Amino acid sequence: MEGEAHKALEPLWKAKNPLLVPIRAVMDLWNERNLIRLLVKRDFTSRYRRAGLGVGWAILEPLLLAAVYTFIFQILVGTDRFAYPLLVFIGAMFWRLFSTVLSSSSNSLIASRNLFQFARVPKSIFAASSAVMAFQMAFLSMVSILPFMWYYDLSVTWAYLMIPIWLGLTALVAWSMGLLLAPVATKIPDIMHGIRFLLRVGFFLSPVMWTYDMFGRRFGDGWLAALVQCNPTIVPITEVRSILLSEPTGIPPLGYQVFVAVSALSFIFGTIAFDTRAHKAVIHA
Amino acid sequence: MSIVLKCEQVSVAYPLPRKFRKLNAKPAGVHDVSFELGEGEVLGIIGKNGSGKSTLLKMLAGIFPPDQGEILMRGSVSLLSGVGVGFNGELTGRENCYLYGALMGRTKEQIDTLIDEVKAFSELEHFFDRPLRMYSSGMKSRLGISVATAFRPDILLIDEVLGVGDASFREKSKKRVRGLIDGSGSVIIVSHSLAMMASICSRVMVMDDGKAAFIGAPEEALAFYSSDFNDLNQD
Repeated sequence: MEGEAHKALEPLWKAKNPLLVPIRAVMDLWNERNLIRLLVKRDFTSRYRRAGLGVGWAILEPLLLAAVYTFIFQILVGTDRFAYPLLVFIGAMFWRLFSTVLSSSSNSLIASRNLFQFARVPKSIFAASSAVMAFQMAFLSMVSILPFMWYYDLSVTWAYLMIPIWLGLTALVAWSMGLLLAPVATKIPDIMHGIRFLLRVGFFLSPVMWTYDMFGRRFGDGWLAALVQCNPTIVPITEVRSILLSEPTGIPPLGYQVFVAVSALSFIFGTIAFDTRAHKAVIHA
Repeated sequence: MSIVLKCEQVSVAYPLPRKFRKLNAKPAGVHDVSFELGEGEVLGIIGKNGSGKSTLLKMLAGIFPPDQGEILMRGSVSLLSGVGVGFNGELTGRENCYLYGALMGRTKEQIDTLIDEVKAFSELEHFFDRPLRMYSSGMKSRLGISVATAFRPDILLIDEVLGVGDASFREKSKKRVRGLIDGSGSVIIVSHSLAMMASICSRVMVMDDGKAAFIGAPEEALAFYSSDFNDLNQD
């Protein structure tokens, strides 16, 4: 304090250049990595410390879900697609990651409102910690693909290293979309009900029980295919499936361009909207 | 005395629910508050419930910005509010301390240097490394006040945190906060304990309906408060 005695007073709230907000959002994540680690540990401990199977649930849950989805889909539609249960498992795991991160990120300002009583940390950290937690769970559940690989005689390739990257991209897109919605959700509580409904619908519109090539065979590559490519889960799920089966994705270059555009725009607008509106939104939370 | 914090015509309004808007109800919040805080000064804020004291502290702590006006300051600021807020029942006392410290913006190394002192002050002994769900409410309060008062910022904001624990721990807490006030550069304290405010504050501000109704010497401020409000809280 003594050293600062002659320093000028500075505004507590400084005007920010909105164009630099996305870069600062990344820097905040890095600077607050210790807090993110502690928040993840808190959530992980809360969920598993008293469970008999502990972290085993992170592996078991998507496996059981995949078994149920496979059973239902094969009874309803019937498919002779090679390694179909594995494809459903990948779809279920990615969808679970996307929907968990999107809903927890959108709800982060409301869920952490008691911490905003005193916490002087970037508010996006609370959404980020739930995204990291969901990513870790999804990563852990990848252990479950080992029995599938043995059963279907799949071989490991260098491309497997891309799987965590696709998981991370999926979490990042969902986190960004959640940041866009979080300030609105504090003002209009109906938003969270709307998101829950959309996520239920999104489950069927995402390639969880179906695959991109099944869709192509059924609907061709017209405007409906272009519309479906706006779904940010299409590319990661299809990519990881193709990595595991060592086969092409069948997604045209336009599909990748749409994915990159949706991801980048979500990140840019999500971080800017959150930065400009989250502080005020805390009053509503 | 150099100025460390300057509040210039600061206002913020809590949004009114739609059904109240039709009734032309006045939104709660803080309206047009201006004051300065000098280095080493202890400023008390008193006022009825809902007069805007805690809202003002939250703005000064940087939790949300004012709608109008400007807050200027230098040095680190920290808000002591809601003892035990943010604690998790499944984490141990020690883990909760690290989490709380990180939420206050402290690094792991800073918390490392204070953790033994927090443990000793809380008198929790072996419970310190057990999950919080095994604590009684008094033990949680002890942990809360111990960790919350462990950090010494340049500007300390205290929002009514001294009424926790049993009588002996309350007295110990008061001493601790007084020590914290002595160790911090400048302090703004909100409390209903008028006797304490008179004894530790160099100036007192009386808030009424979101406005700074009076600011001056503690005796004059308490006299103003007593004369204006019949339902004042006795210490």
